[in-house]
Amino acid sequence: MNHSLDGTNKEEQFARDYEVYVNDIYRLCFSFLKNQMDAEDAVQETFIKFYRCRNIFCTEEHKKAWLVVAASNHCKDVLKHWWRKRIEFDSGEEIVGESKDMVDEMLELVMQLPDKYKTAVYLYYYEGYDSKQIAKLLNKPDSTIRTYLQKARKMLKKEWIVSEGSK
Amino acid sequence: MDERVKQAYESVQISEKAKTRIFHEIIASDKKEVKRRIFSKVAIFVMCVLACSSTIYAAHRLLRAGAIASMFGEEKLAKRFEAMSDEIVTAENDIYRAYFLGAVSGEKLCENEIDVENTKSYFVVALERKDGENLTYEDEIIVSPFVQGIAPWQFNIYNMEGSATRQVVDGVLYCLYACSDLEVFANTGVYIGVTDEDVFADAYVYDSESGIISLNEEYDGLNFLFELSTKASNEDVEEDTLSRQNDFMENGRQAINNLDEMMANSMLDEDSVMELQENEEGFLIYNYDDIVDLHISAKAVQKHGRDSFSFMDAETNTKIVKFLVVEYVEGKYVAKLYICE
Repeated sequence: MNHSLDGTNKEEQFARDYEVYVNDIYRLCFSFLKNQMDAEDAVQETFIKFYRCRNIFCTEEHKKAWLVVAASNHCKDVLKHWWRKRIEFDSGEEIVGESKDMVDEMLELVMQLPDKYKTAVYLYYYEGYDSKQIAKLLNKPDSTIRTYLQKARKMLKKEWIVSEGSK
Repeated sequence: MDERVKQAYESVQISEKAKTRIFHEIIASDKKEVKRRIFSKVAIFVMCVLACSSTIYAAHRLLRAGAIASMFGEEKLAKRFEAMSDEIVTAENDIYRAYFLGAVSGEKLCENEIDVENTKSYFVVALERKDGENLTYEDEIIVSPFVQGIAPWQFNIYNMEGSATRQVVDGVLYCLYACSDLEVFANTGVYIGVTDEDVFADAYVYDSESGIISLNEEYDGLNFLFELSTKASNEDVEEDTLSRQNDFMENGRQAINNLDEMMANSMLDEDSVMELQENEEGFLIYNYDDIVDLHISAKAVQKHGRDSFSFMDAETNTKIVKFLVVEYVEGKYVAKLYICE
């Protein structure tokens, strides 16, 4: 990426963080918003907040957790926004990656999960956090997170079996 | 299956073009100063804030409600806000200062709004820390209208078709909310609560005899309350509006005052009955059917022996279709869902 930096440390540090986390945050936003344009807007809003915030992050984990929570909150606000134009997910267009046939269906199932489960599902399956870590991060009881994950797993499994069976 | 879910996430990638564009836009946006608008003073009030242990305060560094609406691209709504007085009402505690920046009601005030059929109310609230530290997007607050005569935990933003958007500017958190028309309650009394507690049971006190809502001064958290003087834009409130209000109030009173009678006349959903455990934060969490993650204040249940939560029909939001009763008996919390017949 060709950054036009003006040489300040803040921008250099931001450029490094952006490079490391932008794809992860985009994935999370995409799972909520289901389309490229909104997901990109959400990425932009999240990183603007990150750039402007004066938090001191003790660890990379702390930094990443902040970004994940900020992105999730933003996506939830966008979804709650009364003038949001809902755009249906077009499965072929936005996904970039290999072995699309295998993963696209699962991605669609993930995106069909209730929004309140999505952050926990992302953190558990993609980031590899356990329920206690997720509970702490999202400031929710551990029991709630376990319920979210159990319900999400049940939904995914059920739909996945249906989807596989229909082939 | 776990691996497949991970692969599903990995299959999504932002394009290099978008990645570069967004980066440059972020850097560029930081260099722009937020424009502050100057507002004309026009003495048209749809609603004005009365008082409620607050003071009218000339907060020059704050963005006004019109600027907030404008920031979200809603110029029509912004103009309505700008037509109001730019007096701001504040309330504060040891840590925070909250500002009520204005409220308006009307039809089709948002150009891209999905629900354009009904009149809606819009209001803007700001929050800042008194020590000058910046608030961030992580600072969660809930802003909700309450109606005199109905307990805040029974009628609030969640069953008023509420929606919200927020933005932090210069460390100040601005929240723009929309909800069903508050003018319906023009003759009743409306409050706006600002709190960090999403069930409104601990932060506010409800006097069931007078119907008056007040701050719980002992609440160990963030709680503010603004009292609105609502004045319908038409002098004669239309009959259907009054009728809707009466229907709602009737149902609300029924739920509060005649719980035993309602329980006797409704059908208990046997599968819904469960014992709830109080969590570390003092909440009982109920999950059943389409009721997901309902947080109930254990303290409120214990205090009154029981608590109830009504669920309205989605279409008119005036008729109770089911209600949850949580009882505290012999040291146990038991939840039961009743279906109205």
